[in-house]
Amino acid sequence: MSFDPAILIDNWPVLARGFAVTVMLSALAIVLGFVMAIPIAALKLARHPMLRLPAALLIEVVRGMPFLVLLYLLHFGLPFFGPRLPATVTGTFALGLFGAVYFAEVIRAAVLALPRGQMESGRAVGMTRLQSVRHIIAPQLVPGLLPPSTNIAQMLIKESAVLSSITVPELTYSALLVQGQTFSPVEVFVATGTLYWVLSHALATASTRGSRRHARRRPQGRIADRFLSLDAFGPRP
Amino acid sequence: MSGAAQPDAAPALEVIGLRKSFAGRPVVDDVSLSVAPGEVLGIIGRSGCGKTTLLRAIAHLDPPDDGFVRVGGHAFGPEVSPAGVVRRGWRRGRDISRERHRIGFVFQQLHLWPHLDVLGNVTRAQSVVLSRPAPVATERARALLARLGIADRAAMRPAELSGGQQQRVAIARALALDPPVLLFDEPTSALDPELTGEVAALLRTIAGEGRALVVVSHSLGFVRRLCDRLAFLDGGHVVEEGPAARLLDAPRDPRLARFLAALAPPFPSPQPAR
Amino acid sequence: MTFDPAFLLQALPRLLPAALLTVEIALAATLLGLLGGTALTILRACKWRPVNAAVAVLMSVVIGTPLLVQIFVFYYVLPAVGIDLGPMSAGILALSLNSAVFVSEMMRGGLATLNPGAIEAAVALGLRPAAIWLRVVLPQLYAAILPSLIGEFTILVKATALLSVITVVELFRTGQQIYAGNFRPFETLSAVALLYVAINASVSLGAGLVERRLAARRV
Repeated sequence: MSFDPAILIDNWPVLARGFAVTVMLSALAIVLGFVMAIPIAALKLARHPMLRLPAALLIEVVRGMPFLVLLYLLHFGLPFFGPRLPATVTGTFALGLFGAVYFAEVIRAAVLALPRGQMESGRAVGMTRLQSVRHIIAPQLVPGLLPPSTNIAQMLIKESAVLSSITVPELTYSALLVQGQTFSPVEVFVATGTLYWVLSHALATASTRGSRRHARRRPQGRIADRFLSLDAFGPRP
Repeated sequence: MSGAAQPDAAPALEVIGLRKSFAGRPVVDDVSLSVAPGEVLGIIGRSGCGKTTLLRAIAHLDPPDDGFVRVGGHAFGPEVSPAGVVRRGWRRGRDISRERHRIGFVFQQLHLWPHLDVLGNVTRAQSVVLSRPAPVATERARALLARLGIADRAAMRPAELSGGQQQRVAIARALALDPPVLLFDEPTSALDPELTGEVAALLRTIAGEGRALVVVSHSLGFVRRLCDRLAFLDGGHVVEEGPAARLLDAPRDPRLARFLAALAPPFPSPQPAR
Repeated sequence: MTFDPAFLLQALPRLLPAALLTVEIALAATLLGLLGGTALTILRACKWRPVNAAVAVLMSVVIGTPLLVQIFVFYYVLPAVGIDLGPMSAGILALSLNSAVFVSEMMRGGLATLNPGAIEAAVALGLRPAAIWLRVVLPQLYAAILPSLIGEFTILVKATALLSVITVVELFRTGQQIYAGNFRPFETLSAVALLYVAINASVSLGAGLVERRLAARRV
């Protein structure tokens, strides 16, 4: 097995452009997904079952199918409702919608974890529903929302690779392009994998810096610990 | 006990024909009350008699099905009738949020805001609801906290405070909006019994500023110390109403007599009956 | 152009066998993933630093890169270094490796919930470590992570669709072949989506039923 860095140096601009597209459309899809998740979560939390039903259905259906299928459905289905959109637009929207159903579940869980009466205490001092959400509810949601949202954001970055299948010129598409021209899969995929790895780890690091969580483990006997804990250098209690 | 009540003054709070039912079951059934500025009205009754529901319906936290509420002679919320007609001084579609600062509500569970410090708990509604500039709100909050004896807790989170201190924060949060009417749901239930006297004295001074107070409580000793008048609620109705000492010592309605006999020792006691 | 459900129904007879294949691929990957995950877990439990480091790198790479890229690595890179498996085997192996890493993470979480007393008892009885793993730890561990494993299976059912890009004719690619003929991609893909949702819904439903029955038996 040989590794020829010249291939990467020659084709670096293509991969770099793909990387930039991946970063931008992932970021856009994460924001879009979170925004779309808010009404979905609100519906899922509604008291009336007829309001909960559409949200539950959307969540179950989108979660039940591969992202690839969702992407193709929108790719071929959206033109029913309007002009054919560029693949990048359809792809980003699909990724955002895919993220939205996961974000919605996270938001719902965070809302359910709130102490009781918070919305009501905001209303009791004369805040409107919206003001109560903004000043009382939302600030309390953030700490519980951040870690699971980071996981979903990472998932979306990785799923964005699937957009290559509808010719969105992101990183994986660029990698396949270079691979098709050079027939050097080792170099191309090592570089591509590294770029994805860097991106998803950068996100994780930024998030843990935002909220330092201490993994507390149950104290265990030394003997049992030999079997119940993993890794010599893992987090120690 | 006589306070600074001015029985001749126009009522600060009027409740007229209030009804509220849940799932078709009437919980508050045609309740009318009137509280003067500086007066403390106690609402007593066994659990499930509709005390808390009445209080919440007055504040429109659970909007009443029928009847209406006036604060200082002005409509507080739509004056509904069974036909749904909106009457007298309330524009259809007006948001009750804009009126709520006229009635302060202190929850039984307090519902302080855990993400804000004490000062934030007391200033936030002032700036959001009354649009008071931050320095004004802060000054008002600090003055209130000082008066309530918790000035040194301003920078702490509610979770770091004792139950009594948390309650004072909740009271300060309500007082910060200068409501002419204050509603208290079971203010002694979460406190150590020895603090009830202090709370009674504090609420008395708050009433002494010319505010009307309505206090729901199941502690007879507490209402005896605090209230000018009492209303005994049973099955969603006001069964008996009158001066506190008269109701406690010489009940006329047999239901009230039974209720008192079940709760209180057979002699009048200044101590909380527990 | 409008949505014509007739095309959706027409596609189903051809899609059903493909759906069966998808389930088979997912099952194979789940079993291999469980095997690989167990191996990774035991390697990690040995707490031998060089091995731990190697496993940590492998896991970090698998967790940090897209599954699609991992599939391409198995499909393009392995032949380049002399291992030619064909798309189906390469695809299943890629899915299995990916799954193994996540199963090992599940197991780490599961281990923390096990009762240390039972293991101490086994040690006190003089059982060898291998026997303790085989007879005490793993049986409890598998039981503890069973719900997550079922979740992993549904994830793998969805992941099989990615094998279509390396020419494996599973459910999604069968759908593509159908609409290449009838020019009705939306109806055909709706049928495909319906089948995926149906498979995963029945797995979750069945798992819920079994879990309730097991819970009832324990009581």
